[in-house]
Amino acid sequence: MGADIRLNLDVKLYSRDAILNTAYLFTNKCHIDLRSYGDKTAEVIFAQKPNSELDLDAIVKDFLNELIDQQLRVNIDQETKTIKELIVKEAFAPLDTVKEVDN
Amino acid sequence: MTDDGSYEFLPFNFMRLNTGVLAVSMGGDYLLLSDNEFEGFVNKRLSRNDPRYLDLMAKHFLYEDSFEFPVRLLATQYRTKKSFLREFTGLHMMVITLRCNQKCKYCQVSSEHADAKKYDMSLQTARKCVDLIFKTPSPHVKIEFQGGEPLLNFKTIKCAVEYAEWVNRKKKKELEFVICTNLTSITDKQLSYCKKKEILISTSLDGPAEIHNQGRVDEDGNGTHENVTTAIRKARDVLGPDRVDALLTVTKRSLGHFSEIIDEYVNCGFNRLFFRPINPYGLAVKYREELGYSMEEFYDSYRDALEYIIELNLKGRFIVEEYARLILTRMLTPFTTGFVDLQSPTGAGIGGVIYDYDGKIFVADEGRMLARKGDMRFLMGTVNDDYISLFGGQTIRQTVAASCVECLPQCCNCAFNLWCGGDPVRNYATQRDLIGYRPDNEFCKRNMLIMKYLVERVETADDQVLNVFWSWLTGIPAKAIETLGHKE
Repeated sequence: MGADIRLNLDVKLYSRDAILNTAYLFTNKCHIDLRSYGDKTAEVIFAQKPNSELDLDAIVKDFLNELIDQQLRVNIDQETKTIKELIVKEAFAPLDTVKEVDN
Repeated sequence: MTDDGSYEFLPFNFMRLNTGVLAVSMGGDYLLLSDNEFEGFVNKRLSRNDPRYLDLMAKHFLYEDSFEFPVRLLATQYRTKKSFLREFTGLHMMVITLRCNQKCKYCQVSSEHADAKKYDMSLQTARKCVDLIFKTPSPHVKIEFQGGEPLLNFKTIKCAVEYAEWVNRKKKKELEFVICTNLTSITDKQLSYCKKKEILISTSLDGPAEIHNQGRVDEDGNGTHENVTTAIRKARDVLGPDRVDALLTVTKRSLGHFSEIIDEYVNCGFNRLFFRPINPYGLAVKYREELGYSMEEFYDSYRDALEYIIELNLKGRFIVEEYARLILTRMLTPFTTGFVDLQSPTGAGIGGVIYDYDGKIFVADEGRMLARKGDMRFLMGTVNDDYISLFGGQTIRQTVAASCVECLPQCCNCAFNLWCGGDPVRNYATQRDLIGYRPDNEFCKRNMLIMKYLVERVETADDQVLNVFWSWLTGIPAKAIETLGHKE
């Protein structure tokens, strides 16, 4: 079994949500320990699962790529959250309100 | 407004595919962008002169000055995509008996011996089911008679049909009956009754004899292919070709033989088929090693099968694969398709509900399977309970609440979420959790693979293949669509 891999991620670049969302996607491939989320860095530790033959280095590289997309999703979500809520509210508004808007 | 694109985002999800980045708006419109186009868009560097800019604006991925108008349009699209919520429970499945004259290896219902009449639904229970069914606010009611083999308890079917018709004189709903039967025991008298009452038949055909007979056998272990295909022909003659439908279950043995299965459906005169993976319930669990397969294996066969079906359509034989039609409808049109196993929130309970032979009511057939193993997680109550406590009860609320893909881990950010759905009953059955764990979820894997394939297939299709897809969505033959000129 290979050695654990430790990552120190810059929290200015990556939010807690982005790191957690990314970790969720990889928990079937290896063990992931989110050790800390500090002022400057977040520590993430990757460990091989028992009897796993998956390449931990490759998993971490994929993790980092995915993290960029997940952070982008968090950014888009933050920017569009209010509009998303407005759309759902409008979509399920009672019919009278819809008529009011139409008029 | 400057030419360098001073724009703001509207809500969207994205996913990287082999051919680019798929972006899907909150209204369900999609664009497949190149990596460069996507990077330009999300970094707000896309110029107004870029043709992609107008595409993104027209499909509501971005706005310039005011979001009022796009929000209203997206709300209308979103409401349309969720329109299946308007009517509440329309599909009501009644388990007429657990008895069956077949012993299929992958039977998900764990049937009982053909003479075990204690597993028949009584006339009184059937009438109570009908009383509850007509309390639904839905203007459309479909009553599906299931089993076991429901024809073995035909008197209860007749009782339910006639009582439902009687109640409907006052309720005036759009009422439809379906019998889900293996057809092997159907009599002329029963067929005449189906014709008189306009009852649809849904049967099971797994393919040509060598495939069908491996799984679908009678109580003595003999294959039923000849009986079924003879009965299909007869039923189509009596009821009409569009009144008899068939479903197939894919086992390990059918993988790699999908083209023969398609040929069999064509030979039997069907215009549609549905490649349905084996369900992880009932006997299928016991025989997993013998019958089961990975979703990757299923997908490889499914993809080849779709190509074969497209080829047949191009040669002039109209035939549709139903799962592809369902997803393409969601991808390519503003509309939705009601399908209890693939919608958000789930159709379990609020789209369809099942009444067991003894009067117990479950949110889904799969919930009934679990109950047979002693797990009552999806039991809503019984026919003796009142409608509000059943359909407003905790079981249905908890199930539905755990099924909104907009809030589920991983699903909430998935580009496919507006075309997909949650299946809490399956999650619970396979992963012991209503929410489920997506990285290992076979249901998610299957839908991901098929949806990725369909997006890329549509994007690379020539006009003729696009005409085939549109013919599936509209029911208009591909040749006739050519003259409509949907694509410049």
